[in-house]
Amino acid sequence: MLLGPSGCGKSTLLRLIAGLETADQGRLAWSPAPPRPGEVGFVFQEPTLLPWASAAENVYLPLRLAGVKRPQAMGEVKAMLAALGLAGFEEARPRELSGGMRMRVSLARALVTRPRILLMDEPFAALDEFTRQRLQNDLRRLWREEGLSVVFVTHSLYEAAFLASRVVLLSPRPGRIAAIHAAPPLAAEGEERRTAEAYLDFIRTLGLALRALHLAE
Amino acid sequence: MLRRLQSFALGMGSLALWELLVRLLAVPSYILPGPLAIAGAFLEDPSGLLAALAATLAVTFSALLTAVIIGLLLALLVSMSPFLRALFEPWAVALQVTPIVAIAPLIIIWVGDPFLALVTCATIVAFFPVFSSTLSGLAAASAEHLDLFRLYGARRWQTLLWLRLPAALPYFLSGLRISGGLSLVGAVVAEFVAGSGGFASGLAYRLLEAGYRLQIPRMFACLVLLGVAGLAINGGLGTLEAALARRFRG
Repeated sequence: MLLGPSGCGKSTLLRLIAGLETADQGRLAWSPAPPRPGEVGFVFQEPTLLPWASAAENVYLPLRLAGVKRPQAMGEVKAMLAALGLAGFEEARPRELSGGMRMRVSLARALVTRPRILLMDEPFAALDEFTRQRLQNDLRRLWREEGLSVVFVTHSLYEAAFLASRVVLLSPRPGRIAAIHAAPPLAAEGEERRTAEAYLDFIRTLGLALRALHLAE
Repeated sequence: MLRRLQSFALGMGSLALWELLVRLLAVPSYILPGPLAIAGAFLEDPSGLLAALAATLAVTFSALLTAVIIGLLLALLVSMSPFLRALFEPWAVALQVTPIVAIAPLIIIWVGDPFLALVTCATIVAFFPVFSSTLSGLAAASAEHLDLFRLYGARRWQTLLWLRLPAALPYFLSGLRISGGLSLVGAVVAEFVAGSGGFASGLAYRLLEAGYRLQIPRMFACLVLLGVAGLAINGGLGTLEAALARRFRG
C-alpha cells in the first residue's frame, strides 16, 4: 500500500513498476526476473474499458493480446467475471453497467492473466462510499483466496488501513519513503473489520504519521 | 410522429403560400414559377430528368466510394509516421482548398473517359472530410487505453485493429456524412464544367440546358431533384452514423 499526498509520485512509481515509464535515474530490481507481459496486472483510476466491447470481450483482451484463442479463453473469462460477482453480465456493454460494475470488469481484466503482481492506482476513488466498501471487501477476499501480491496507491487513510498488510508512507516533493507501517494482525473482515479497535488505532497511527510529514515539510 | 406531421404540414403550407403569391402578384413563370408549374415541368419529361438524376447519382456514389477508400488508406498511412504525414498532408490540404472548377477542365482533358473524369473531380471534392476526420479519429484513442495495450505488450497491428480503428469509427462516420453531401456537390460542379464542353448526361447538364432555353420551371424541377437527392444522402448517412456511433462511443 502506497500512501501519500497528491503529487508525491505514487502513480509514477506504479507506472515505473508496470514498465509504462522509464526511470531517469536508478533501476528497478526484480526477483527472480523482470515480469513478462501479462505477469503484471494494472487497474487504472478509471475502468478504462473499451466502450464498443462487451464485459467478456473486455476481460478477454489481455489474453487476446497474448495470442490466446477465444474458445480457450472464454472459460477463464467467465470464471473471472463470476468471481467478481458479474455472472450473467458477460454480454453487457460498459455503458449498461454501473460505475462499480465497470470497475469490477476492470479488475477481472487485470486478474485474468493470473499476474504475479497487481498494481492498482486509486481504483476506487471515483466510486460512492457504499460501492467502494463492497469492492474493498471483495478485493481483500480475492487477495486472500488467490494469494495476490498487490501494490495499491491511495491517498485515503481509511482505505490504506483497511486493505493493507504494509503501508508505505511517501513524502511530498521529492517523493521519498518516509516510513513503513505494518498493519496490526486482524483476522476480521467486512463490517467487523471496519469497527475493530485495532483498525481504528491503525488509522490513528497513520493519521499522526501523515501529519508529522506535513509539519516536517 | 406528431413532429413529422407538423413539419409536413408546414412544408405543404409554405408551398401553398408560394403558389398563392405567384398567382396573386402575377409573377411570370420565367422569373419565378410556382410549385405547380415546377411539378408540371417534371411531369412533362419525368424519364429524361430521372435518367439524368441517375447519371448524377452514379457519379456521386462512385466518387463517394473512391473518396472513402482513398481517404481511409491515406489516413492510415499518414497516421503511421510523422514523415509520411509531412509528405502527404500539405498535398491533401492544397487539393482541398483549390476550387474544383479551376482544376476540373484540366482533369477532363487528362482523364479521357467522361464518366471517370467526373468521378475524379467529385472524389477530389469529397475525400478530404473522410481523410481528416479519420486521421483525427486514429489519434483519438485515450492515453489510458494505449497504456493498457502497452502493458500487455500489444503489437502495432493489434493496437491498430482492436483500439485505434474502433475508436476512429465515430470520427470516420461524421466525416463520411459530410463527404456524402460533398460528393453530390462535386458531381454537379464537375458536370457543369464538363457539360459546357459538350458532355451531356447528368442533371447539371439538364439544368444548364434548361437555363439556355429559358425553361425556368424545368430548371427548378432539376434543382428540386438535386435537393431531394442531397437530403436523402445526408439522411441515410446520418442514420448510419447515429446507429453506429452510439455503439462505439459507449
